Amino acid sequence: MTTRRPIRPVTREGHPKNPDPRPRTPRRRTAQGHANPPDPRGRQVFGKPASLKDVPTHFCSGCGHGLVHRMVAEVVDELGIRERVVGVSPVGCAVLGYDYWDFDVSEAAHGRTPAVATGMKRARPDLIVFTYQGDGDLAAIGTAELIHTANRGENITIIFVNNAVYGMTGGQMAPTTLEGQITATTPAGRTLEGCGAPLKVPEMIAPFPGTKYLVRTALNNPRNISIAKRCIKKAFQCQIENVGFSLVEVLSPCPTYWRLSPLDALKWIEEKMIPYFPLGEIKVPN
Amino acid sequence: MATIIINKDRCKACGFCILFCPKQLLQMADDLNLRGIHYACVRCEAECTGCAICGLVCPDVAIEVFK
Amino acid sequence: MNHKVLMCGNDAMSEAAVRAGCRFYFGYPITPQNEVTAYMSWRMPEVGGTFIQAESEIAAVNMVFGAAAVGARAMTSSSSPGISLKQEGISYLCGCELPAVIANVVRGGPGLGSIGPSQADYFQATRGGGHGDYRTITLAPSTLQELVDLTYLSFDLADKYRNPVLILSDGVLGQMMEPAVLPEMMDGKLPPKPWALTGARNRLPNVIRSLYLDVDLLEKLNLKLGHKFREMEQQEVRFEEFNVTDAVLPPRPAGLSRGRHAPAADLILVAYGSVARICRSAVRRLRQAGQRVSLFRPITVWPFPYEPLATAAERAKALLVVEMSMGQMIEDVKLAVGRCRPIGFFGRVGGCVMSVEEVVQEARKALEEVQ
Repeated sequence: MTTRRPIRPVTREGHPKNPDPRPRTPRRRTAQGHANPPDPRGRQVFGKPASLKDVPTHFCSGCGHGLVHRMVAEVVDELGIRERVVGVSPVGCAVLGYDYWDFDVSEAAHGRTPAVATGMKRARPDLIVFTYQGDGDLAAIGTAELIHTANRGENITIIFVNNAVYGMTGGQMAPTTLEGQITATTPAGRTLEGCGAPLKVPEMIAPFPGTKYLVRTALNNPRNISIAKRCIKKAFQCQIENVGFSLVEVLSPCPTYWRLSPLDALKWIEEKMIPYFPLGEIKVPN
Repeated sequence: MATIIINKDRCKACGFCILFCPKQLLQMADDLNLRGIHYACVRCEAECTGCAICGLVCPDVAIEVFK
Repeated sequence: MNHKVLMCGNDAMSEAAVRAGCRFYFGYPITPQNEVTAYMSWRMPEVGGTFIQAESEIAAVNMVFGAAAVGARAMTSSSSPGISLKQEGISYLCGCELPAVIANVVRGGPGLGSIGPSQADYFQATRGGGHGDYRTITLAPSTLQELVDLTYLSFDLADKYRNPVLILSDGVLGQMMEPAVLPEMMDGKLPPKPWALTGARNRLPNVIRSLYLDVDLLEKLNLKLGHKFREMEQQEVRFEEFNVTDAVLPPRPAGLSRGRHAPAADLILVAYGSVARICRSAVRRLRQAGQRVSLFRPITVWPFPYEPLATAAERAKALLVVEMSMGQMIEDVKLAVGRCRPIGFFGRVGGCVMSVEEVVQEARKALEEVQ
């Protein structure tokens, strides 16, 4: 008679608990990737976060994606959620998120990112699920997914990087391209008639009861970059505390397709984007 | 007294750190890195307070700050 | 005025569409066909047409549906993942008997894939990639001139049969630059479309629908469509044979030739699109080494030239199918030839393009087995 082997205990979430062999405390590492030994130069006050791989990125000089990727990694480290977090990459310049973030990341078909995140979060509510999307992924092809994920109030976080153009495919118009802005598909500048007005995403979904924390930030100076990181952290905390759907829009430079130098691109955000896309919290949890 | 270490080959010469250092302690080097472009370097470390704004604004994680 | 230009494939295809009377282009950015959206964004307004960068590929194909329903010549283009999105729309276009042109600049797949060229959308294109019983004439150009000629032709074929027509380009053709003679701008007089929704003035209302809850009626529609597809099979097959003797002569003007029977060859390479160009060079090289090798090139991959290929195969010892895929057209080759000849396969996938030398090596291996 064969002895039956005991069934492995299964958690409420449906998966056996596996102890993570990797050390839990994220350690700061040098830019060269070495563990932090006692340093004759003193205490490191700024360096590469543990959740960011030591991989030079493919982003252009002055692109905002490098900043936002780093900020997401810093927030993940500071909240200690590296073993719980799952990111969903878009189709766009940020498609290679899995090459840069040192935690679980999935791709998604263009625009379906919030739907993928919904499937993940419903199947594993204990995971911290965020999407990272550009203006095309979120507000063009992904409009339906954005609206309905927000309306259902899925407890996920959307990081929305708005650079007013389609970078990856060569600088075409985006839903957030400004009036008069010249792009590959608006060679004479975007016109309101025919192309419509640029979309203001957080304002658009604010009326939905399901949306809880909606904020717009920018990367045009150190103060705004610090604020952007704080808002990303607040959005993740919103999810951790089961408050509900959060979205952080980040006005980000695209020097290449704005045909500006990196420094002029920061000025363009300040002079052109911020007047149309006002910064601040559009909706906060009660 | 603080120390700035810039990984010159990660630098893409965006110029953010040079622009935003409150004491203008950074500048573009004369020579080229492996990318074939000029890179940001420290002009005068003695006055650095370790505010780490340079690291904060660097999109390429090229800067480490020690205090 | 006919004039010769040096353009990249995507631009040339766009200009040919404009000259064929297309005045409505709806598209969405995706590599490697972004030149089409950029070109149409300024060229359409220039000719009094309309360009819209739609919110998605699905929206774009449905905009085409709308423009076609009111009698216009409309086009959309995309690349593999975007063409997958358009499948529902293409099924609707067929079910509603609407003319339209859809261009696929094929890239590596499956999924997000790569931006390199590929031919792995053959099944999707020729088997009716969407739901239901339907077919679409699928044109596979091999040179820029052919891309221009077939794009121009596609609008006439779409109107002739009231059915969508697919142009199967790829990342090589779309990006490469070659000289081509552009056709003259058509005179703007479209064929009459009494079925179009132009406003029911002095006539009974027209309806565009593919929904028939009465299943007998839907069967009737399918039989009617089937009759159309048989007509296409009888009248629209196009192919080219690049024969052993042709290796020393300039190639025949491609595109609209109906082909002629090949003399006996030891090996027939079967390839289409940009791979056929590579195979043509391989055939030349092998010919110089004294090998009897020829090339059979389908120009319409649907309707596929089953009979001409079967006839050519009878006078050969073996075939070698060369594709940028894991083997898709080879199934049609097997349907044509059956078991009577050995059929080999050589493919590169993922966006990789085979070299002439690689094809020559594979052909030599195939020849060794039959000689």
